[in-house]
Amino acid sequence: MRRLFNILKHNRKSKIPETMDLAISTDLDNNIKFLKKQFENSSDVVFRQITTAKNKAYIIFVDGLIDSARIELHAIQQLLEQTPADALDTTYIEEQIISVNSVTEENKFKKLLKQILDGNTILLVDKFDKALVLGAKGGSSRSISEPDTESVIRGPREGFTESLRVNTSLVRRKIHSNHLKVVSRTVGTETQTSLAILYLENLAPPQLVEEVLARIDRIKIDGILESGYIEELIEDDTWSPFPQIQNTERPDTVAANLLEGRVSIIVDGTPFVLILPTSFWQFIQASEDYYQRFHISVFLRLLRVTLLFLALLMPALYVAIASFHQEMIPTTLLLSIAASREAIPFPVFIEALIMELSFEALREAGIRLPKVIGQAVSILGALVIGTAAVEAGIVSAPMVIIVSLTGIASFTIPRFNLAISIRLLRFPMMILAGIFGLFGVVLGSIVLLTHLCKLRSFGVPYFSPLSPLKWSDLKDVFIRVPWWDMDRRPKQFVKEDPVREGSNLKASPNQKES
Amino acid sequence: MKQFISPFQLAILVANFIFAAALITLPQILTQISIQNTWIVPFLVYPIVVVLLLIGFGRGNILQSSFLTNHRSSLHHLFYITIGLFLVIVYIRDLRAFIDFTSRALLPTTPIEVIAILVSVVLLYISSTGIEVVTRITVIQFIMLSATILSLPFMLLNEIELSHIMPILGTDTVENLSKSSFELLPWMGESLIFFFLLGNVAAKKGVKRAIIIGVSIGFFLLFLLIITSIAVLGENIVSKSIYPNFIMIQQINITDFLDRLDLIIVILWMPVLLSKLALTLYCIHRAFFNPNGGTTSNLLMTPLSLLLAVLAIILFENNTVHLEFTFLTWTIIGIVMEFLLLILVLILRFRAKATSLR
Amino acid sequence: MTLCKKVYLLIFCLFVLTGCWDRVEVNDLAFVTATGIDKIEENKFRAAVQVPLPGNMGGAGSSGGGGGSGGESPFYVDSGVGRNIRESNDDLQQRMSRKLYFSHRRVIIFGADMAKAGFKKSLEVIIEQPQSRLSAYVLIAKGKAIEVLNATPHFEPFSSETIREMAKSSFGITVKDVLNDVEKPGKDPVIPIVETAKTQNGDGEDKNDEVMVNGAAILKDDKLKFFANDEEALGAFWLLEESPEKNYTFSVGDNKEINVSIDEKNLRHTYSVLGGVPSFSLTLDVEAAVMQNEADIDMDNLDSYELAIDSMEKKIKKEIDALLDHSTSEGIDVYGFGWHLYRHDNRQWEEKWADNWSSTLKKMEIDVQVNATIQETTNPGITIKE
Repeated sequence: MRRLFNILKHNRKSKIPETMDLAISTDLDNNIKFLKKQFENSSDVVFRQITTAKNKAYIIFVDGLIDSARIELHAIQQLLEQTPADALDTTYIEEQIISVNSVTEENKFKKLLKQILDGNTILLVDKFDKALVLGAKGGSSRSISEPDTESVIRGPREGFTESLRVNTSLVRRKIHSNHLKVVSRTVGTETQTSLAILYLENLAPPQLVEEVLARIDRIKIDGILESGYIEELIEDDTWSPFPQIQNTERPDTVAANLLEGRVSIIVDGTPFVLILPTSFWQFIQASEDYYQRFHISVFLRLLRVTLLFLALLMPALYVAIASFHQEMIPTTLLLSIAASREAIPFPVFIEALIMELSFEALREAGIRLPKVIGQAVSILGALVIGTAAVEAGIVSAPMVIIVSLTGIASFTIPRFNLAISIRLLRFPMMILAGIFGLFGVVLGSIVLLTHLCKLRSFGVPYFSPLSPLKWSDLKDVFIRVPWWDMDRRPKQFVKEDPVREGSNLKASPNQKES
Repeated sequence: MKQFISPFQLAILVANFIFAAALITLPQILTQISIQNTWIVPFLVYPIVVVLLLIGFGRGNILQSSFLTNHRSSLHHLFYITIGLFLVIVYIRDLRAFIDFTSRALLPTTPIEVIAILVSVVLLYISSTGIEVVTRITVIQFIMLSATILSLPFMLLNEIELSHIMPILGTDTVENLSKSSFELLPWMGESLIFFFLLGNVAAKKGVKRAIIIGVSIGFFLLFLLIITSIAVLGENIVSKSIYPNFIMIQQINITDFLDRLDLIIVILWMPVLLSKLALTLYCIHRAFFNPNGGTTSNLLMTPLSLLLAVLAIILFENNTVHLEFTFLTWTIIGIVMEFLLLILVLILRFRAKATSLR
Repeated sequence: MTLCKKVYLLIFCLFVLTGCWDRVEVNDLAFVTATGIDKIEENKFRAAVQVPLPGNMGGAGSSGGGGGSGGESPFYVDSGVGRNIRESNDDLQQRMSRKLYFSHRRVIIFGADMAKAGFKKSLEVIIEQPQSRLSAYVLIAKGKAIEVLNATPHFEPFSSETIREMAKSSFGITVKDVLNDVEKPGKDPVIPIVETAKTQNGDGEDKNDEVMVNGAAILKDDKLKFFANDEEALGAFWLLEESPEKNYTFSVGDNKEINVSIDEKNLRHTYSVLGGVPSFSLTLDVEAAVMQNEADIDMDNLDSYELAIDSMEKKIKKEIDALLDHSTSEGIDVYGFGWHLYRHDNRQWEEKWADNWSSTLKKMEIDVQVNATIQETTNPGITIKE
């Protein structure tokens, strides 16, 4: 039984390669027949027959993936205009006729099929067992535009697109160095998605690159449609609520991280590029922090850290204080809270839960709906929850303030995937606060802190450089020192070549003389 | 995989270990014995502890490597059993103190059994992550608490009355001071358990210095707390309240709006004590079941922590019994066991030296 | 799922299903802002509390829920009777649907009768209760404490808030201070007096009971001995109060007064022991600025300046002497002479004076020196004499 199963499995697996490994024959009709069979019921695959003076030839491509203008101009027209005496051979065609810049030869059907599906054009000529692959990829793809998710006031306005090559070129344009390596991999048995793994050879630790490649090679999956697939397949601890791999749409962010010795993975078909290894603090840093003057960056980072805590803990703290530790609130404030709660039927905990859930619902509705209706929903929600509920005495005004402050605080986290985890973790915290008050919040936080200290992203402690403490790396965590003082790369990643810039770069008038 | 800590982390661990639990109730009994002069006591005990540690250390390196050897004699076993028992007592004492404080200051009607189980589960989670993570969270939390404690005198500037801390030279002052020094000594002597963790220190140099620095930090913070409480409250109130430092931080009044900071400071302190407890639990587990620190099995951690939680509850009938134990029985047990440990360390050191010479 | 995970799940369920022992909603609590304690008879006390009514506070949120209407009083006062404070509170609790909550209490008032009988035990409750705070102000009412609680001052919604503000800005004595003073050897507490007074607006309609914090009650240990009269109360200000801000009026000649504001005052003392009896000398430096110069004294002129200074110094010295004479004659150490000896000369204190400090105090010499300076004059510039 088992053997039978194995045979079946084996058969199913080997069925395609058997035919695919066939070489192209000299008989054009046979070849075309075979290819047509492979692309049966594929209306977008075009077989264009061309008859020159002596030969028959076929041009095969997937409509929409090629640059048809170029093929028309540089291949079809050129071929039709030829009137040579004897039959053409492929070398002659390649060298004398076709004026497309990249032409290669293939002689196996398997590779041929892949070339067609990748968006190349195939030229098959009668009596020759070779096919010409004309590299004229085209078709429509999104142009480079400013990323919506990470917009900046000052900084480059370009963002990654869905096309892998465009994306790698965007990074290349930032880093003109032969140290920048672009290793490519193909993942996905059906989708055959291309991946590019980018790193700077002289900075990224070799064992990190090896580990990344090993983890990618381990992936066996039918399809990769977004970099999120890769993220979940290669991250260290998937049970952790915290993201361990950063994603970005900005080439400058990728370049900056490559320069700190990290590795990035570009996945074809998505503008979101992965960066790893990551530390927790990277998620509260925006790329603009490095472009604006450092004073405001320091202020904003400290603000973000504070707001991060608020986003996580504020509802929990309110529940804990209002229903366990009333002595913590100043008397006058307490009395006004008591006054506003006088007619509220729910306990604070339930009230908080209702409000937080409806806030989340409102937010989700706003994102999923078409943009025009989305605005209407948010206005409606603000009216209903903000005003009507308070006036009707169902929800107290302080609670509305707390929930909206929490919402605002969570919007200030620059990276959306950390904001999501904070949003989720708010609820367990609220439950703990509802049962044990502040004590519960403290225990919850310490468990969270332990988890963060335990977590690693590709071997790098997630909470570093705060824990384990690296004083010199703290210059770019809660604060950002001016660029002339950022003379070393983070110690956690770069061991070999830590010096980033010349010493004594601080400009001052006296330096001219010396 | 063996886990390593740096000398800096070791220093913080030591400071935290002697400081976190001592601040709960110890200032009360000390003040009761030696009234206004109590803040001198840390200065008297500090040299004794440092000398004891230096004696235990000797040159240091031999000791550090002697615990790494896999060769075990019955003396090693005796050492581990002693240190395990010592830590069990410390753990039970601190856990109960923590539970009592929580149930008094934060959750008065919640059954202490529930608090005990909750705390034990959290401790279990923390200590099962191993010494590296325990150290990391200790460092973060200890730095936050120290910053707060250092700012306490400034926050309380209006309340401080210097005449409260003026030393009084009475007939029995010397006697009282030595009595309270005796009371303080075993608490500070807990720093001896770091002989047990030496094998985990990555660096070979600077370990002795790190431990001395850690002890100094711990002493300084304790001194600061004692002197601030007495200066703010007066010895009378300090010696009457169970948690004098808690009452002291209640006095903080920076404008009318910010005069209820006490629970916020308590929130900063609780994780610090929890990380001390977690470290203790980790060490107990290692001393009894895994002295080499070789394997990473935490199989027995769960029953161990729950058993100790149960013990912490049933051994002390109520708060008063626990306080009596803390102030009277523990002092004797602590001093005896600490000297036993010190002697064992010395013997082990000389034997290691002898074997290495041969 | 492993056994371990099952155990954790079980523990988690335990908490979730049984939790919330201590949870209490804000609206199930009665926040006590002030307590007034009176003695009815021997071993029988009346403890009155002042509790705000959040529903009547007119908070923005409550209006929609059918809450506040403007006219009602924002607080109410109720009291219970018992053999001690706790029992009285329990008695009161039986009539209240909300739980008495003491951690927002900032004012504790003792009635005169209560104060005479001693109140240390009532205060020590506060250390034992973690809820209540040592930073609450202690005051003594001239009559019944409950009357002060019933006052409805114009500015603040509650009389407790008024008392707190006033005590804070002038002569505030907290529970901590009282407990320390009672326990300190050779120091007796002085506590401010609180009383009510009608609004003095002539024929105006709107007459309420206003609260007045004024004067000093002189205690021996925890027992009230006497209320200082006006002169002695000023003496208490010079001797005890830390904040120097006060306006002060003294007369120069007949019916001519100078008002000054005190900017700085500094009290020093020295002591000497002669034949086993200590003697103290106090030196008070006062800096003042003229506010109103009714007597029209030329401050630039040395003679007239001396005259003004002299009359000021004399008046201050008289006030201090009045307080010290009265208190020492009753064996009360308001300034803390004994506390000073205890700290600086502990052996002699323990041997000679500790047991009979009251009688030693009566025969002790206290010399008072006042040095006043009037720093600046009011508006008029320097007049150049011809």
